Amino acid sequence: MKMLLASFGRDFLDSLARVGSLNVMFYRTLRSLFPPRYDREELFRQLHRIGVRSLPIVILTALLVGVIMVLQSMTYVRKTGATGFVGAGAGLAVLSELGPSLIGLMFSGRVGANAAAELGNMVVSEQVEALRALAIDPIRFLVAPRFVAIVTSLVLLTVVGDLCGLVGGAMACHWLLDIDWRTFVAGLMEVELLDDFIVGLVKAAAFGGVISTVSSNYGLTVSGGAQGVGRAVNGCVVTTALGIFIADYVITWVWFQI
Amino acid sequence: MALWITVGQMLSLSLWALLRLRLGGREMVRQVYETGNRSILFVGITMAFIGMIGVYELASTMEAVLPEYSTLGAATLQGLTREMGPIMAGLLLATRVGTGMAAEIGSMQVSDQIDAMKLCSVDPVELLVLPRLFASSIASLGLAALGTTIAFFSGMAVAWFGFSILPDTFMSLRFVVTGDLIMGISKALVFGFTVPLVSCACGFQASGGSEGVGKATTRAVVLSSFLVIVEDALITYIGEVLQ
Amino acid sequence: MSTGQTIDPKRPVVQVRGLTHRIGGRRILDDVSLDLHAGEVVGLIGPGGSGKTQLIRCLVTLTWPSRAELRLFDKPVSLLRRRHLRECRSRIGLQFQNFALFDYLDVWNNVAFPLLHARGMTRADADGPVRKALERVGLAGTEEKLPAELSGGMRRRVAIARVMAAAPSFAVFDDPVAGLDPVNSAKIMALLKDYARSAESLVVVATHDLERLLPITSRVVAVFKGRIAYDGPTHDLMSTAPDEVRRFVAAALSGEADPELDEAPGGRGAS
Repeated sequence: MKMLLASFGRDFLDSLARVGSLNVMFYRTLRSLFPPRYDREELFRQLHRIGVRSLPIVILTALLVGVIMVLQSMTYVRKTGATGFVGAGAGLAVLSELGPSLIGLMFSGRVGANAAAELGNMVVSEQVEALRALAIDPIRFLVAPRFVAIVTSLVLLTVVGDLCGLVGGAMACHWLLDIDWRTFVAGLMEVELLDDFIVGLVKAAAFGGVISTVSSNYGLTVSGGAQGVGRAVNGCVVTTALGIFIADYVITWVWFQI
Repeated sequence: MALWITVGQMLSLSLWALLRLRLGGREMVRQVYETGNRSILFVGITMAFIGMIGVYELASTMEAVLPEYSTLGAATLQGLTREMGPIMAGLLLATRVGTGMAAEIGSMQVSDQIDAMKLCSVDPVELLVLPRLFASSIASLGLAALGTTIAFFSGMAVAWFGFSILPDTFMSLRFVVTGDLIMGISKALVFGFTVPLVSCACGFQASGGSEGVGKATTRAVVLSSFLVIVEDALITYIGEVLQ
Repeated sequence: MSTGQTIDPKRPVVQVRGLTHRIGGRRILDDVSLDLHAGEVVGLIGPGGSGKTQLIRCLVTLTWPSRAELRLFDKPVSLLRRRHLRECRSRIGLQFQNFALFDYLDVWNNVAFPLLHARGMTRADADGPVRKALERVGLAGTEEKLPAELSGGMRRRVAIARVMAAAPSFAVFDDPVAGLDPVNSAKIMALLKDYARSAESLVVVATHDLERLLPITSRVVAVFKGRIAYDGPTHDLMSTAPDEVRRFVAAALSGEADPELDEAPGGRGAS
């Protein structure tokens, strides 16, 4: 019992310490963004690596999310008879909620985990120490370009993903449910989509911030060789997932208050 | 390519073990405990937030399409059982457990521990993977059930405080049918099986020090999350056709 | 303590002909032929990246070379004959370059692993040899520690104890003294010599520490750029070996750098 309490308390204190260091990391990243003095070339390299190369997985995920949502709202439609719900329900869910959060989750696995592993290796092989010895701030040099690249790419990818999600939904209607895709589009047009689209983008930007901050933090605090890198990547994706849904809730809640 | 060969080998080995009912006994029980214990808090907290978000979103859609909320609770419960509960539990399992397994097996691979096992005539798949596979399927089922329950109650709180829907009205089972339960359970089982299968295969493919472990872990989480989404679409569609 | 079968001392334990191994188009090993007999202590030497570790991996059946004819314990080895492969492997012991200790098992279980799994012994039967091996390497009393709690030198000695406990007919030690201080490396080398004398088996030791290696070996195999540059008795090494081998040995013994023998770029790390 005492052991259990002790381990619970230790976990609790550890997570408080982690939340603190995440905030410090976020603050220092923002500070290092102004004035914008980071390496242009590094930024473009990161944008290409992070944004362009995540495109296929984002498109596939979004298409499938559209399909799933249409199939899912179908069961509701069958019970209530509201055919318009197929387009509206699926469309709203994809734009404001599932699009950003599932794309965010995939992106966190693809990019966040990668960044944590990369930074972790630099720490393990003492490259980060070498930077510090040269009086180069690792946050400005390594984290800031990644932050900008991750937030920008995730917002742009969400725009692409939203589109693919809707296309996927229409295709699922047409081929899997034998409902004319025009019904889907008509249902979609009945509701105000712009608001949800914008919330979705706000969410994407916030998720980008979460992914970048968490992955940099876990990456730069690695200790203990190959095993340590593995543990850091694991911790990074877990914390990111938690962070994404907390941010998601906060934004949804704020949106409903306005 | 080599990855899929490993996945295939592991799949056939595990099916063979399943047929012979050699599931690894005590080690498996330990793994169920480990898997569940490691993810219960994470899944619980995340699912609570997902439930609250879900009710907000669903309410806003209902407001736009059929301006009344009487079916909100029933629709939430059905959506959670068939869809959101299992898929979110699957994705969270991929992030929490999948990366953990890939990291663990990856670091064993790069430090020659896997080769040391082979040299002792121990099949690393049998020793390391099989107990994890079956344990994770069971744990996934438990986590999906728990997650669905937590999400439903957190959603109920939002409905009460945000939309003044009393728990009495919200707590409605009238949409959930046996088919939904079967779909939810089969999804959770399949996801629970896929995640360790793919993640362990990624771990075995790791090479070259800490960099290799990092790469294997990243690959594991992307591939297993993606497969969870693909399988979810497939199972949902199959359910749709069967209805 | 070996598996019961005795080996005809005249027949080689390891016989390999024309072993060639390529990784991504690069020839790592080129036409290697070797006969190794029981009772020999073979020193495997060569600059870093010359293919020593790959050669070892091929000999213990962990890597399948691109082309080779490999006979272990007087029988041809192939992936298809799984029972024979199992039998072979249960008589081979390898100390891996980076220890390969199972980090989820304590020291006792690490050392007992080959006995329990490859030999099918019970835990009670394994306890004797395990404790004896740990005592031999000076680690008695650490049975319940995890590898993570040990220093690098202690982990290396656990890895050596794991090989010794199983008393294999063919034991390979890959870099048993790398990165150790002179006192500890001398101790470990003495231990290997002691083991080779008592076990009547084939012992292969690969290391860069020639000063301590040469006194305990009866035979030296030098690998240079994937080829065997010298294979013969230790005492003839300085008189009959080719020029490059002699220069390498002389430089290694005097501790001076030989500019032509710098490590091949990226050679070791990838293994």
